[in-house]
Order: sequence, then structure tokens, then C-alpha cells
Amino acid sequence: MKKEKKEEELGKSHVADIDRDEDLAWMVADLWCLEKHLSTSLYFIREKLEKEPNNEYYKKLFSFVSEVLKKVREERAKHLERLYFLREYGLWCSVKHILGAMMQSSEVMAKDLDIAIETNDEKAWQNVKKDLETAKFMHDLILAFRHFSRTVKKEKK
Amino acid sequence: MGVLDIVKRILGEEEADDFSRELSISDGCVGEIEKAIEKLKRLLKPC
Repeated sequence: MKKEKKEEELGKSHVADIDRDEDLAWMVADLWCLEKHLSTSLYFIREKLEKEPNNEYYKKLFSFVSEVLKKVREERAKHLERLYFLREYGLWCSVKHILGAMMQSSEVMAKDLDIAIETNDEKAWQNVKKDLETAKFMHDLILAFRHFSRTVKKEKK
Repeated sequence: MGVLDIVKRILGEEEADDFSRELSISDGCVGEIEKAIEKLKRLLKPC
């Protein structure tokens, strides 16, 4: 008889694979980063348009990037909701920021690593360690929300 | 203090054991990254 998989094991292709929700968290975090990048691009295009209001290229580029940003936001919102394991008392809202902090601390770590290699300074290496700890803490926090929801909340119901 | 410690204090040892299994893959990944960082540091150490 086929052994029934635990919920968090569903979708895993291998025992060493991370679970679906972990991948989903990285995906949503990346979508949110994309939103931020597109917003920054829009800001620069708007600056250009202010200087050259009749420039057809900038006009079209602005409309195109605005539409893309709108769609990306919809995609992000569609999947972010799947990570709201705890919705009560505004906890749902913290998920977006946890994901952002997870992604951004990984990006900061990449920069700090570059600095540490360049300077080989102990303080710089410590910063790399701190960034990694923060990224891991945020990652674990999302899974803790899920664990809390699956255990304690389930008992409450 | 990590998230696992919080889970242990609030939900108890048994739940923490379950939760730690959920974290095992990412713990392993972070362990590998830490090892790579240490290796880099050693390589960059002046002779």
C-alpha cells in the first residue's frame, strides 16, 4: 500500500527537495522585488516624460511598464494569499514584509560577501553572518506561521 | 534565538521536534553556505 505523504511533503520531487510552500515564498518574494524594480523604472521614465512630454517612445514605454506592473501586482497578490497561514489581527499583512525581509537580506548578504572578499575584514565577515541569520530567521518564520496554523489553530477549531 | 526556540518555548518539545523536521532541508543548505564562507575566509587568510 502506498504510504500517505504528510502535507508538507506533497509536491516534493525528492527527499532533499524543499517543500512547495518554501518555493512559493521565494517566488512571491521575487515577484515583490520585481514590483519594486518596475516602480523605480516608472519613476525614471516619468522624469524623462516631464522633460519631453511629446516623446512618443517614453509615452509608450510608460504605458507598457505601467500595465506590466499592474499585472505583476495581480500575480503577486494571487499567490501571496496562499501564504496567509495566520490571518487574524493583521498577521496576514506581516507575511509580505517577512518575505521582503527574507529576500532583501539575501541580497544584502551578496553585497556584504563581496565587501568581505574585497576587504577581508572580520567585521565584514560578521555582517555576512548576520545577513544569513536574518534571511534564515525570516524563512523559518513563514514556516512557523504554517506550523502554528496546522497545529494550534486546528485544535482551537 | 531562532524561530525553533520560540516554537519550543510556546508549543513544547514535541511540536518543536515536528517543526525542526520541516526546517531540516533549509538548515542543511544554510550549514553548507556557512561552511563555504569559512572556507573562503581561510583561503583569503594571508600566509
